[in-house]
Order: sequence, then C-alpha cells, then structure tokens
Amino acid sequence: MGETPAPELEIEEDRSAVLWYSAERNAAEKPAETAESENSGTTISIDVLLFGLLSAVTTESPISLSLPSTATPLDVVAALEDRFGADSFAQIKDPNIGILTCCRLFVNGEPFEDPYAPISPDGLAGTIEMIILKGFEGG
Amino acid sequence: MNEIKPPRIVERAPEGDEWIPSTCNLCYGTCSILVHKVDGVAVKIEGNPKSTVGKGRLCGKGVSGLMTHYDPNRVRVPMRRTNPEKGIGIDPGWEEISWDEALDEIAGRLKKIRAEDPRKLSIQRTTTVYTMGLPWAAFAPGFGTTNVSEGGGGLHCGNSAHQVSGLLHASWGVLPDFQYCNYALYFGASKGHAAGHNSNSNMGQAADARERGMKMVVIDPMCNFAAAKANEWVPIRVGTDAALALAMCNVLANELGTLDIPYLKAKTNGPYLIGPDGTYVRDIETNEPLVWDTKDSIAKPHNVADSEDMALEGEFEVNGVTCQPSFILLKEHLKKYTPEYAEEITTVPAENIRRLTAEFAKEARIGSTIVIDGVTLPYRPAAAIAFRGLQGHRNATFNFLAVLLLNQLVGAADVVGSCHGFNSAFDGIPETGRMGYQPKAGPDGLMEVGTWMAYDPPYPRPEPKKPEEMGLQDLFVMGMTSPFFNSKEGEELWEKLDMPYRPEMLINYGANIMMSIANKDLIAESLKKLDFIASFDLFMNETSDFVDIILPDRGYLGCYNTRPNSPYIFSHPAGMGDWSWAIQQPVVEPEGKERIFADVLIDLAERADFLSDMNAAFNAVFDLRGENRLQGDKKYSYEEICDADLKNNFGDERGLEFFKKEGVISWPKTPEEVYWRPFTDARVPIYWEWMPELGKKIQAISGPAGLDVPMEYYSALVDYLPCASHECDHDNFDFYTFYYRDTLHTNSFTMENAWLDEAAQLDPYSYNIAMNTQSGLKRGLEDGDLIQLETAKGRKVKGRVHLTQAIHPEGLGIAALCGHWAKGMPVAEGKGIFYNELLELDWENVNPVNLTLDLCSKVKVSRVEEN
Repeated sequence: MGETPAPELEIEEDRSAVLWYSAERNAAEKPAETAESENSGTTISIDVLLFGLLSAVTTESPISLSLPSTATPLDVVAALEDRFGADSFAQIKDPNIGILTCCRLFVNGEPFEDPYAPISPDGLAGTIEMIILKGFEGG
Repeated sequence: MNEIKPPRIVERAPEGDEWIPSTCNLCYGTCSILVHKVDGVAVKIEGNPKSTVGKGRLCGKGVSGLMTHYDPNRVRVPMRRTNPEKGIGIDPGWEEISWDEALDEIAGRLKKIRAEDPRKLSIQRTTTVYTMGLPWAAFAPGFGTTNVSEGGGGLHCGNSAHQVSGLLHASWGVLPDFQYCNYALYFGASKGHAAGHNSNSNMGQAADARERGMKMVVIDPMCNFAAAKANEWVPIRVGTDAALALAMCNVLANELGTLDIPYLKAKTNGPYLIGPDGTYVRDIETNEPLVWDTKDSIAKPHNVADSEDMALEGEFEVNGVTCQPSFILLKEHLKKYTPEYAEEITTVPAENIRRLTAEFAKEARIGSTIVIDGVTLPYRPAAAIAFRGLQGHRNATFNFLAVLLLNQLVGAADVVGSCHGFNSAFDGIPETGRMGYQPKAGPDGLMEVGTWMAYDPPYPRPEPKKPEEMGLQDLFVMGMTSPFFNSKEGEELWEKLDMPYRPEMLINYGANIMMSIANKDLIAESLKKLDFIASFDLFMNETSDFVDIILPDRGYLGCYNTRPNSPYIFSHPAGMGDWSWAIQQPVVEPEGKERIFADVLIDLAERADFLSDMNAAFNAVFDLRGENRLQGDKKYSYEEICDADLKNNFGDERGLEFFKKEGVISWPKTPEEVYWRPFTDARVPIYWEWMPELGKKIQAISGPAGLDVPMEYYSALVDYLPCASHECDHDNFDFYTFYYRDTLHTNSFTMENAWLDEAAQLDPYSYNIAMNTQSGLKRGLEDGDLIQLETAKGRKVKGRVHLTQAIHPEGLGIAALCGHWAKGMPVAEGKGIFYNELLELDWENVNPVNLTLDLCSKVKVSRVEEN
C-alpha cells in the first residue's frame, strides 16, 4: 500500500456520538439582534447597473434611485418594478429564495449575497450591479 | 504502486526542447499534464507529478491527445455552407471564408436577435471540455440568453446524481474515502476505474485501496471496468438498483437494527415530526419544523432542542394533530422492500442481499472513532456509491437516493472511510482566503451546498413557474440539464406550455448533438428549424450537416483556462492530501487559421455591441474585485482576463506569467476540510417532505397543458419505480439494452483519435454488443455474428455480438457513442454502434422530477444474414 498512514484506531461503542452532537453545541449561541441602524429614516442614492438580459428593461444606465438607508436588494428590485413594471423582474424573484441565486449582485464592486440584508449599512450612496448568470450544467 | 518520476525541470531543457505544464482535456477529468515540445512540435504528453490532480499519471486517452491535435482531418479555417438545404448526409458545400466575414455575419445576427429577445439564442457546448466553460459563462449572460446547455446533457450527465449528491453530501458526486474505506458497494458506477470526474487520481487511490485490502462489491448488469477489479460482482437486471438498495436499507433498519442513531438524530431530518398530511409539524411562532424532545416530553423547534434528546420513533400529539418522526415513517415504509421482493425485481438472490447488507453493516463500525492528523473523527470505513449508470433511468432521482440512504442509516457520510461528497468544504487559498466555501444550514435546518457548478443550487429550491427556459428547468425545478433543449419533442412541449418565444439561432462549442442526445431523426428535425447555426469545432462531424458557419477551434493544447479544477467539487481528488491549482495554457502555435475561442467570443461581443455586458459578466463569473475588475466596454484579450483572475485569487505576484512557468501550486488539506460533516451544523433530508407539494405545483402548471405529472415520483419517501422498458411485454423482446462509458473513449469524440481507435479495435467490447454467452447460444448466435436490435417502436441498430460471461443474461451492453457516419471523421466512420438510435426522447422516457432521460430499452434480437 502506498501513501496512507497507519491510522490510530480507537473503537468503542458510541464514541462518535459526541462528535455528531458537537457542531450544534459549538453553534449554540444565537446571533445577536441587529441593532436598529443609526441611519434609519434617512435616504440614500443608489445607482443601479443592469446587464445582460436585465438590460433589456431600459436603456437608462445607471438607473438612479433614492431609497431608505435600510434598503435591501429586494427593495431595489421593488423600486425597479415600480418604475419599469413587475414583469421585468419576474424571472429573478422567488417566494422561497427572495432573489434567485443565478442573479448575481455586486454592491460597490463587491459580491453581495443576501437579498434581505441592507446594501448600505453605513448609509452611504452606492452602486449595485445585477446580472443573471446561467451556468452550463452537466458532466 | 509505481514510482512516480520527479517533475521535469523546464529551465534546464536544451533550446528547442521543453516540457510545458498544462491540463488535459480529452475528458473532463482535467488531469495536470506536461507536454514535451521539441522544435515547436508537441511530441509527448505525460502526467504532471507536481499536481495532485492525476499525481503524475495519465490514461490512454490523455497520452493520445497528440493524435487529436495533429489529426489531418482537423478543421483549420472558417467555413460557410453554400447549400441552403440541410439534412443528414446532405453536402453543405463548404467554402473557406475569412474570420472577418465569419464574425461579421454572426455578429449581425446576434445584434438582431438581441434587440428582439436575446433568449432566441441558444448556446450548447460539449461535456468533453466541460471545464473550458468560463468564457461561455460570461458570453451567454452578457448577451442575455438563459438558454445554455451541455450537448450530452440528457445522456452523459449525472443529472440526478448531482442533484442528490448536492442535497446529501454538498458535492457534485460521491466516492468512497479510498484512503480509509474497507468496504465499498458500487451501484452502476466506475469511480476509480478510468472514466469521469477526476479519473486518474481516483484510479490511483482505488488501486491503493484494493491493495490495502478494501473489499469492493460491484452491483452492475455488466462485469466491466469496476466489477472486473472487484472482489465480487453482483449481476443485476438493468434499471432495478433502487429495489436492491431499498431492500438492503430494510435489512439494516428492520432486520439487523444496525443504525447510527446519534447521526440520524443530529445530521438528518429523521427527528422532524410529520403530521397526517405528510408535511412537517411546525412551531406556531417561528414556523420551524418541530421535533419531540424526550427529555422534557414536549415538542420543540429543531434548532432549540438538543439532538441527543430528539425522538426518532413514537407517536405524539402536537398542535392538535397526531404526528411521528419522519425516521419511523421511513423505517416502516422500508418494510415492503423485503429481500424476497427485491429478488423478483432485480434477480439478485435474497440470501445475497442479506449477506451483503450484513457485511456492509459490520464494516461500517458504527460508534467508532479515529484520529487523523491529531483530530478525532467518526470512523465509518464503508461506503455505498453510485453514478451515471444507475441514474440513467426513469426513476433516476430515487435510484440515486436509495443508494445514498444506505450511508445515512449507518452514519457513513463525509467522515473517515465513508461515502464522500468530494471536496464539499474548502477553507480557501491560504494567502488570500479567496474561493473558500462551506456547507451550511439553510431553511428548515437543511443543508445548503458551499459551492455548486451552476448558479442555482439544489437547495433551497425555487418555485416552479410557467417555463421560459428551453430546457423547462424553471418548471421542473429539480432538473439541471434537460434533453428537451434541442428536440422535436421539446418543441411540442413548448407549444403545450405556451413558451413565449422560440429559438432562432444556435452557437455550438464542440458538441455533436446529433449523436449525444437521443435518436438522430428527432434532433435533425429540431436543428433544421433553426435559422442559423455557428459552431466551433475540431472536425466536421454529424452535426456539421446542419451548421451554417464553422469556426476552427484551437483545442485544449492551444487555449487558456485558469480554473480547470475549480470548483473542487467537480474534478479534484477527494480525501486527505493536497489541494492543487493548475492552469491550462497554449503549448503549441496555432495551425492554419485557428483562434482561441475565448478571444473570438470577445470579438463577437464587441461587434454585436455588448462588450460592457460581457465584461460585467466576467467580473461576476470570476468575482473580480478592485483593480482586477474589467472596466466598462474596454476590450481585453482573454489572456489579460486570465491574468486578472489569477491575481485576484492569488495576489499580484502570482498572475498568469507565474502560473505559465509553475503550471501548478499545491498546499495541504486539513482533516476539518476533508471530514467536514461533524463540524457542520446542518441536516440532510432522508424524508423529502417538499416533494408532494412540489409535484402538485408542477402539475397545476403542466396538467392544463396536457402534461400529467405522475405523483408517485414526487413521494416524500423513496421508492423503486420501473422503467418503460420493464413494462414492455411484447413477445420476443427479451433483452434490456444499456449504454456505458468506455474507458478508451470519451462521449462521441475520441473515435477519431487514431491511437484510441486502434486500441478500441483490439478490445472485444468497445465496438461490439456484449451479450451473455448462454443467452446467445440459446438463440443460436455465435461470437462475431452481425445482429440487429429492434425496439417495440421500430428503432433499430446493427452490430457484431460479443458473447461473454461478464454480463447479466438479460442485458445487452453497448459502449460509448460510436457508429459515426460523418465523412469529416474518417477514422471514426463506421466503427461501433450508435446506441442513441434506440432511444425515444419523450415524456414517457424521462424522469418526471428532473427530466433525466431513460437510457435503457427493451429489444428483440435477430441475426443479420451476411453473404
């Protein structure tokens, strides 16, 4: 046999049970409640850049929005729906997931994954890019 | 094990003589290679021992890459058809054109379609060079089409295997942990035996494991690549694996009682309470699924109760309803799968089923631990794995789930020696932390993958919608690839389901879709309806009969790829050892007018006015940040983009120039990455609670269109369900055909490779139909006879029979996708059998959950008289 080192074997009944239970114990602390943002009640300017299929919605680029400072990607999409019609964004919205993961979001050049999280927790203006990526699947 | 030679040192080579590191692409195994180049000519290809991907080994396909590269039949210039009539065998009347002419015509059509509806463009590419997909992953979304597919998606792809592996192991597929596994059960898989993902590394690991003493039992209709090296081959009737696996689960759960109870409590949804309607009983306040806490004798949300205190059995009153843990429902459900019932379905004797289960249970060593690199871990040196063979049937999803359930019952999941999702967790590149990923808990506490090969992961699932994707995956949301992408039947489904547009243009990259989906007539009908097809190709193949402009591709020895092995869930060795990051780079000068396809795509984006969109897509695909992001509509070469990708991940000092020279860098894995399951607070579903409701939602959309969804495929509990072939009871139709991947060939591509063709001619199986000797003799057949196979629907193929003991008496095994008829592939022409000619592509022959095509058929056999 080649490279595998000889294992140090410890066999006892149910020795592994504690290991199966360990992850939830390590993760037992619940996340703290998010404190209300100091910027609640204020508004921010958000420039939206739509690419690929989404760019067919409008020739306007960037699309300038004024939204509450707590705005999430879903709020951005709602504002875009108000302006351009709900059908335009139906393909990226989902009741289970919020915004489908195939729609990649970048806020100020950084990837942004949570459609329910404020895109500008510091209350500053920003740019959000949106593009639908459809991967080749298979193999 | 053979000694591996030390790496070639490029710097010491004499002038005009060098070894250049790159990556093989004769299949998607993407082994790291060294190409020996003398005076500008590539003369030899070897494995690169500096890389863990292949570990210096290379298979027969890999070393034969030279013959593909220098094949005189290669397409070396752009060409346009002059004959407008398209059809099988009709000469297109090719004429050479310039790149400018070709690109202007294609870009003009792209501009028109993009202005109308970009989804009218479909893009298809081959699985053979699957990992060269990144430029396409930017081109398609930059253009705006969501219609992208793999050429052999219906046939070669592990559609269900990927989905179920993702749900249960956070990976693209599963393997035994070869380094520590003592007992491996293979169901319709050849992992470690020269085909598919990470094939060379797996071969080495599997060989070492067998030498170490790992017992290998292979359940397969044919004793070929895996079974021939196994301790035991269990011949099984084609397509019945789920009945066997579920009988084994029954023996485990109800006869032996060999279960890893702590695992089932902590890592599965076995404790979740199920109400009379079959769904989770949920907490009124939080909506989280409830479990029964045995310590406090009350129901608690799953994320509040301690797993140790969760009930797996019993009946409880909660929220005014009677409910039971899902585990006991599964355990009761399994009782119908007695070994005697399974014997009738599978032909595997009941006593063997009990013996194999007892061996598996004993070897799982439930409760044991082991220390690896100072970390104490659960030790379960038994694994049940499966892959494409078992899942290429109408019951694809449940077939795969049934096998993986064996591991779940004994806790043999992603721990030492067990069934592994390969490389499900990765801490990231050490210096920068980039690219890392970890499985984690999602909604209802069920596991979400850390990374995925596509952008829509297997969980959580989106809601089904009226379809707007050609493959219908937005309706059949558990589907990944779809065989309906280019087919006559697909068009009928679009009509029924009110698809708002129709495809008008196809750009193809190397896929030979006339051969790789189903019977050729259906595909030909579909291709004829398209206004325009452009195709990047190496050869004029069967699909070229329908193409308008052919573009010469440089092939894998002429292209860049910064991520041939990333993400690591696709084709990188599992188990302890190293992570390696290799690249692919041009090793030879272009022949004729060949160009790097990625640069051609960038040219097309510029000419069709969507370069800024494609740049944005590249930024998204590569997660480019800071100075490495592509700007506006600036035009970059693909070489520049590759440099940006590498610097983005590895830092400014390790860009493309660094990797061109080094070829690969490696660093060690940790036990916490490899054996991640105990460290991850997430559960996997052994009870698929969402399925009945999902089935109803799909039916609500498809039913009114006349497409009824059989609800037995959408059960919360896994079942054996027969294929259409099992229901065929015509007289004299007494053989089940099946397709298998040949180790000598990749898909329908390598038959043109002269070395591989020669090897295949020497092999009694590659180009012949394998039939059991007794079955053949009983019908008066002799080895080498020309026979005809005919389905009940009248589809026929002919080929020479090879009589062998190494196949189930009812099975007929046909390797790869041979039987080429294109004149542009003269080495391949007329060799072997075109299996797909037997296949129907319709609703009756796909898995109604994820559209996996059933690849078996029932046939009658007759001898063809020869003069």
